Amino acid sequence: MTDKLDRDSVFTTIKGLILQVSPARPDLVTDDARLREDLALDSVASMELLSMLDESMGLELEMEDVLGIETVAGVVDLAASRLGAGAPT
Amino acid sequence: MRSTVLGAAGFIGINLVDALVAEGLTPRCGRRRRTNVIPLRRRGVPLVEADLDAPETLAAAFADTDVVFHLAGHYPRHGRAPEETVARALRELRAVLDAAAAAGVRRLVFVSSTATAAKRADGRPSTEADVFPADPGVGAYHAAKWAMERLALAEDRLDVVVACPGACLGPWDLRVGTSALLVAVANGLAPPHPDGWVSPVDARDVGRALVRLAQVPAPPRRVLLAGPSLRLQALLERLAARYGAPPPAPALSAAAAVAFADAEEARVAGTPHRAALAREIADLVIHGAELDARLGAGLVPGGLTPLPDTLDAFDAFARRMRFIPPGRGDAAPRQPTSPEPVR
Repeated sequence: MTDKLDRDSVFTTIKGLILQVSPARPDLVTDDARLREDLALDSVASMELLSMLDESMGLELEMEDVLGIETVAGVVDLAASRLGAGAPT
Repeated sequence: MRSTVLGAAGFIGINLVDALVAEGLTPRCGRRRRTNVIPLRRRGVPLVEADLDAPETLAAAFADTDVVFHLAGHYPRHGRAPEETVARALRELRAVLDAAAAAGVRRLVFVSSTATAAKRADGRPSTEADVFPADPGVGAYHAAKWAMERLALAEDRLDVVVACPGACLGPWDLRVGTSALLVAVANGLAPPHPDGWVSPVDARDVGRALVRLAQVPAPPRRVLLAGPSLRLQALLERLAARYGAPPPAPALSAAAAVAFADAEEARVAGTPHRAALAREIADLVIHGAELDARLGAGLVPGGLTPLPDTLDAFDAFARRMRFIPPGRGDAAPRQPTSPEPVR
């Protein structure tokens, strides 16, 4: 499964998770969106998001990996690196 | 001992889980759908859905359980609508008590707060006997904690023990709750604050004491879990010296602190931002009693962790989690500590 994932697929999955925890409109969930300022996720909601990601994608994250992530791109990059996902071909 | 922990993913919860695992016990850890369970998953403990608003999940979570640790008592995040806050706190606690009784749970260890400890008229330190006779009338947090304690202690279908931790410090304060002032000082900030008695306690000690409360045949009905009391201003001065930060600003008056906290609460309402001073923290400090917590200290194998060691443990955790950036306020080496007198 991992080999088949590209970054766009990871982004789509993460966007779906974000929309479960954020009141933001779907079109606001972009790579550059900031979790707190743009998507209204406080620190607790951000941790919940990353925990959902950890469970749903089996990332085996540590808290040190997830604290300090500020943007959607940061979340996607973390997941993509764990999954070995590359750019779409 | 088969146990279920409600609030296992929280600050005290993770330290309790570690204490149970250190005793060779494997707790069942309650979670809500959206709980951050990364730390629990890394510990390999079993997770079970336990939603205080869904009693059917509690029935399943408490099946074949000897002891329930209830660390998920309602924590109001704002001071608005105190009556609604208390009603919710009691509704959730009733659901837990009812489910525990129905499941045949032997003992429930309910984690409350030293917010329910009243100052004594004679000025001496307060003990387990000094409880507010009625709602303290100082804010939603105190009202909820007092009401929940009263309900818990009135329970007669199962054995209930109420534990009242002081200001918990140490590793796994991921939300940076009671540790917020430490982080602020370590980052060179001067947080607005009132003055009053605070009674820090190492969260790892709280975890160990809770395990003992579950195990001993005849535990006290209500116990304070707190280290030596000290004034918040003195603690902040000690922290500033430790981190080489400027001395803390003078404390706000009680009225000014409450007004500032309320204004901060209004400012951040509906946003993802945090108040610079939370109302419940202001209330806890202003109305905090000096404590004589020897009873609880006796429950911690080996005695309470000295405050400097607790601060070291939190500092290491906070740097690992990057709450304190590298190079910021590096602590000066300190002298080895001797155990502190417990009062």
